Amino acid sequence: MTKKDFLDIFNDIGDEFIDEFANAAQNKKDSGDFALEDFGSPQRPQIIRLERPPKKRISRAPFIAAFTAAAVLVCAVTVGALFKRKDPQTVSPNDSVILSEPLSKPDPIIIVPKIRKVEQEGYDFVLEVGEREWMSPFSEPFIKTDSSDELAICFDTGGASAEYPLYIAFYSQKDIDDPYASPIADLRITRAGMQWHSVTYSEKPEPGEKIAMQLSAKTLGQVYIKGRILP
Amino acid sequence: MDDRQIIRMFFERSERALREVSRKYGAYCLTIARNILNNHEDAEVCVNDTYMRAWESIPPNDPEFLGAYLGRITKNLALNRVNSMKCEKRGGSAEIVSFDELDEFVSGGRSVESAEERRELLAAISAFLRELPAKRRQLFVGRYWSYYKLSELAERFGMTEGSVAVSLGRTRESLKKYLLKRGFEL
Repeated sequence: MTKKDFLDIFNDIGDEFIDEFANAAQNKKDSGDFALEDFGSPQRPQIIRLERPPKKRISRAPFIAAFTAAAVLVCAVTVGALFKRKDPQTVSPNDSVILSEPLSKPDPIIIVPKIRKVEQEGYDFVLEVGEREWMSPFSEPFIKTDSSDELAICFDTGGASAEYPLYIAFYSQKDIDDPYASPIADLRITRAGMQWHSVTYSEKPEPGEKIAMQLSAKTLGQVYIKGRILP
Repeated sequence: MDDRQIIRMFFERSERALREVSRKYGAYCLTIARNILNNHEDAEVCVNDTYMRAWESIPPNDPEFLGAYLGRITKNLALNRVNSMKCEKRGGSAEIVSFDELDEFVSGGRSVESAEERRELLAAISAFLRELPAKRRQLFVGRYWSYYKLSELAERFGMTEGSVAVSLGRTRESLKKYLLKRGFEL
């Protein structure tokens, strides 16, 4: 098959798919600088500024069920992997720095946090991650959000740098069973050490909803992240 | 405004229908035209022509999906314009989107010439699309039907370009497996 074949065939997909996208992509903000005010005239249409309509939310509920079966399978694989794991090392309050060698492989390794909460004064959680797995399922949801537009988290990002950045993606609770979901927020951290990070959601979570976090980093070994969520 | 209300205005020959269409689908049509024609002025003309075609064809047509109806008109007009420019300039500067990322999706070998095979492929692709989560489906259709750029999809869906690329890559991979499993040659 050639690219042209695919595009030609794809051109004939049903109108319902095209309309679904057209409505998702309908005028939201920019490009509202185009409007036909002078229909039929050879002159260019008058430019008007359109108001931004409210964002249309599309229910994903019908599709979540479809992924449930896949999620069960994925969870089974995860449980199997957990049994194979070595016992995690003890996390001490001061062990919050990435102790690792840079990975020579250019592609980032997806590090899924296998959460082990550790009590530490001043923090809602201390997270131990570092068990390397390729595109494993989502971590257990652990961040509880409020209904604000932003989530502020204090992380010790260890040895993150521009060369070895730490990428953190946040997923909404309803997407936890969907291994292909898009993140509702993400962070690319290129600085080392303890610092506050402000995350702006593209899709605002419901009050009290838990959100999951997935990490990827060009680092090997263990990474400790300790964080605090603003009330 | 609801699409059925807009179509009713078309039937009543109210020019407000055109304003409402422009308000709701103007940017969408303009993006399709601009990405095919690579020229904003030409794209604006193309969108104007789209409104004209819609005005002339509704009625008698009563499209069930107005967005798709307008998108198809825009895309066909833009593609026809590119093809006629290519003929005039004998392969001049006008090029349709290259979609380099599809190089790994298709073999580029044997062309699908049989109408029967095309129908079967279309049915399989449609079935695959129906099974996708809504957002992934919209991104895929936006990219390969509406010719949106990654940056435009990222902006529309409040995502990063990287996330859009990852989603599209996974969908391509899933579709490839889906089709190969069903005996299609890619």
